[in-house]
Amino acid sequence: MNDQGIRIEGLAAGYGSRDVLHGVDLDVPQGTTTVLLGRNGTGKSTLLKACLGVLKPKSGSVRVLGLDPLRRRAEVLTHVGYVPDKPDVYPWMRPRDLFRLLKAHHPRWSDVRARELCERLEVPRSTRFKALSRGQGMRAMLAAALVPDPEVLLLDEPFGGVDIAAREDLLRGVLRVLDGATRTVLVTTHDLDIASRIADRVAVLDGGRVVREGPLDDFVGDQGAERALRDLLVDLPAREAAQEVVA
Amino acid sequence: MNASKLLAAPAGFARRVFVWSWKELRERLPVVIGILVALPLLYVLAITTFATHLSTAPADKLELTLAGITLLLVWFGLAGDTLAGEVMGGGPSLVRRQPHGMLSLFVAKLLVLGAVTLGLAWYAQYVFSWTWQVLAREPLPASAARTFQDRLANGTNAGLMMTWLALPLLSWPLVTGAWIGRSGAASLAALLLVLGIGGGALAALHGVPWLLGWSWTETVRNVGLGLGALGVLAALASWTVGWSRQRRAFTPALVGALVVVVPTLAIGGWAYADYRAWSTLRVDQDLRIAEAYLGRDGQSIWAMVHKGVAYADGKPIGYYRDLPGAVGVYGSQRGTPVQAWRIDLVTHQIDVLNGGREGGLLPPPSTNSTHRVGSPEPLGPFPVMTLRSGSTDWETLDITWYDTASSTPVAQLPIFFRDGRVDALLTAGLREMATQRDAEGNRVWVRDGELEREGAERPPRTRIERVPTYANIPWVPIPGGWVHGVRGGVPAGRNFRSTITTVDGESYDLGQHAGIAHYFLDATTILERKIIKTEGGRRSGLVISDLRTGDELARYESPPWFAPSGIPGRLLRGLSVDGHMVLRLWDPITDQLEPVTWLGPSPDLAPEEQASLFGMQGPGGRQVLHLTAHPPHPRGASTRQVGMAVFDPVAKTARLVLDHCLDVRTYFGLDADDSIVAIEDCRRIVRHGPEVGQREVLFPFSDEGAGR
Repeated sequence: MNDQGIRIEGLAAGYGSRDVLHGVDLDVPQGTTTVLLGRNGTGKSTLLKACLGVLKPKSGSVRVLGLDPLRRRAEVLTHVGYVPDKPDVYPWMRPRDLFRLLKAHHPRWSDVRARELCERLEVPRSTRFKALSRGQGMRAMLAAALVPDPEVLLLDEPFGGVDIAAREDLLRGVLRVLDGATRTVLVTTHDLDIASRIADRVAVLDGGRVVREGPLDDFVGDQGAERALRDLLVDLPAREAAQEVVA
Repeated sequence: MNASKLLAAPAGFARRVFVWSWKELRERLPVVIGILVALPLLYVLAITTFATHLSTAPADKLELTLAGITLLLVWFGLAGDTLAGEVMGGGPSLVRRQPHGMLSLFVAKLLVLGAVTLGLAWYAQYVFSWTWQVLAREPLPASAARTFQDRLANGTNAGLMMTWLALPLLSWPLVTGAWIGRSGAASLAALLLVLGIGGGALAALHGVPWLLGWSWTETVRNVGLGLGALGVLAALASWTVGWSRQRRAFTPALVGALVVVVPTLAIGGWAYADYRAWSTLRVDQDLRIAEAYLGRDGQSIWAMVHKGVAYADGKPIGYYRDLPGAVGVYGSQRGTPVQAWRIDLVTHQIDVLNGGREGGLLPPPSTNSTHRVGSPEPLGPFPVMTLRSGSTDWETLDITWYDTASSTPVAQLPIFFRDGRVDALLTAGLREMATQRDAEGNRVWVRDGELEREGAERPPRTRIERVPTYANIPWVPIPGGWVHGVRGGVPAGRNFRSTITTVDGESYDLGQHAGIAHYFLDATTILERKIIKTEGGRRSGLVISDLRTGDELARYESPPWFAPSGIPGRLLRGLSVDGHMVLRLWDPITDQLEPVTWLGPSPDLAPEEQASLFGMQGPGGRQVLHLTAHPPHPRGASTRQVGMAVFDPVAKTARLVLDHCLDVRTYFGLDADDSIVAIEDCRRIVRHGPEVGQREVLFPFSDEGAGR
């Protein structure tokens, strides 16, 4: 395994006859936090699936820490943490039950680290997931992803579908764990504000391709560029509906 | 590489399987608890509701039905949402993003489902047994009681079917659940799969034993395991296919369905063809008759028939195992099917018993209170017949009891179990067949290891009970009593301790006898062939002793040939008088002879010849005698068959029925007119007599044509 983060070249992938990604090139340097921006349905989750090796590309290549996640999936998953857009754990489980389940799969699991992360992220370990708030549940998923100390962390729209308070709650948690860490992080979202607070780099996904990529500074500060980006990120139907309201 | 590194991978796999198993159990626990509570209630409801609508024969179907219901509970409750539910959805599921998660989860599901299904199956069988037992104690309506007591589930017979059905059926929900994400659809798909292949599987259950020599229960087990293994393999294949192709849910489902359905149909088709080829026995040139018994109604023959292969020496044999070219009655070795038939000689109707499956006919022990000297096979007619089926292990056989007077089944119970109906049937049959009488002239017989007396019969029991083990020890009749604790129905030879019980119920130890062979003159007098000292040296002589005192009553240095007569204190001898064989009743203690009258012509016996006889007792105490003639010692090859005769101990008459001797293994019945019924050449049932030269083919019937 080398020191590379995530390297994607010419990735084309989809579901059946429907292609979602049409040749994506993306480089996530080691130790950086990259936010992948894009509207709903542009293929952000699809790209993450390809990084996890759960989706077979139609063409192109994906390398995570220099490894092909399709061919060396188990090895890749040992070094990759993943946070879904909502807790996808069995509702009857408690966070401590989840940790027990995951511990058997990750040789680098540490109970000490699990306790520390739960304290930092304020995760109630003995409350069932179905009784946790959305924010608590997401923090629990974040903790579960981080306990094995992965070199790569993937977060798939973790802030979507939560209210502002929960979003801020989660965001603080994310910032807490990212602070000072040297892992490679790829976060997908359609929220530029989130990107501005956590990203080192930003990539924009549109039409199945990365249309723009670069350091965060290239996207914020320049009002024109930022407005254009915001326009790009807002769903066209929602935008038209908003315009109708305004009208 | 050290041991810890070698063990790391399997240890890791075991840990993963363990945690997933814990998760599976935890998820299914509420359903399991619900099933544990619901099963007893379900069985009580089913048994009490449907008992009145069942007859004897479909009793086992109730168990299968309940087994099926049990398994459906497992399916719908546990197996519906299997692997597909873990992986369906928008993002990569929890299990898919864990290293080595999928395989360990799949194995865990397999283990948990298997353990729970097996555990539930075993739990179900004991609940079934317990429920049956409890309900059997309660007074039920007469109609319900009749059918309800047909089966006592002792946990072995009922449970066997459930357990082995559970194993293969378990796999099918996994097959469909691997792709289909909706639990109801998965269960329904599994059910449709099973129904779809049910015909082939059922044919396999019927067909395979005939070819491979398996019993019914072995077939259920073996075919079931095969289907189960196929299902697991198909599930593994479908999981791999579906996983690698990442297509929509039903694409791998269709692929996997082909994997499952095509070989299943092939197996089913083969099994059905095999079943048709082997299990449909017709009365044609391939039909062979292995064993037969006369029924009490005077017109039924209860026969064991099979196809094709004849016996090595052309004669049927009572117990075929280990004989070259022989057929295993319980499908033990050879391939041709053996069926139990009831052949009606008047209506020409043939009833194939036990649905054409493996089954052995046998009169129950002690039904015929006969001398079983010379051959272990009794002579009929028999008022009671049993059909033994359901297992190759004799301890788990099912017994169907028939009243041969009406040819109707009376009860079906596990072996060693009796109920009131069987008690009544046996008592009536044994009383009719009894030839022994006590001092007051009452008939005496042995039922289930205990004496029973006319006018003092034990009342039929009121519930199903197991008979003591000693009930299975045969009681060999002797004049005035029985010898029991013997081996093989024939009084054993040297160094074998036995007991004699007289008709009056007195019992005493036979003691140890070193004689080569012994016979009983009556319940207190034994004849032994021994080496005795004479003036000329040592000779094989005959010593007659009182069993109670040990006193020697008589001895013969050159004993004559004799046969039992059925009359206490008397034996039968054949002598040459004026070139004819005459029969005499011989008192060996006083050496007195008493004449026996021939009805009809007597056989020839030259003056220099000696006659030897041996007999087999038939109904009413009559003796079927084999008569041979030979020069004085040694007998050698010049022994000639004289014929077969029937001796009536009451009238002290004899009738020559055949001018030659049949093999003792071939004849099985003595009719009221002294005609002898026998199997001829393994292909025909013929009646010989009552006059010499009379021979009538009873079966196959003349309109069948073939086989005459």
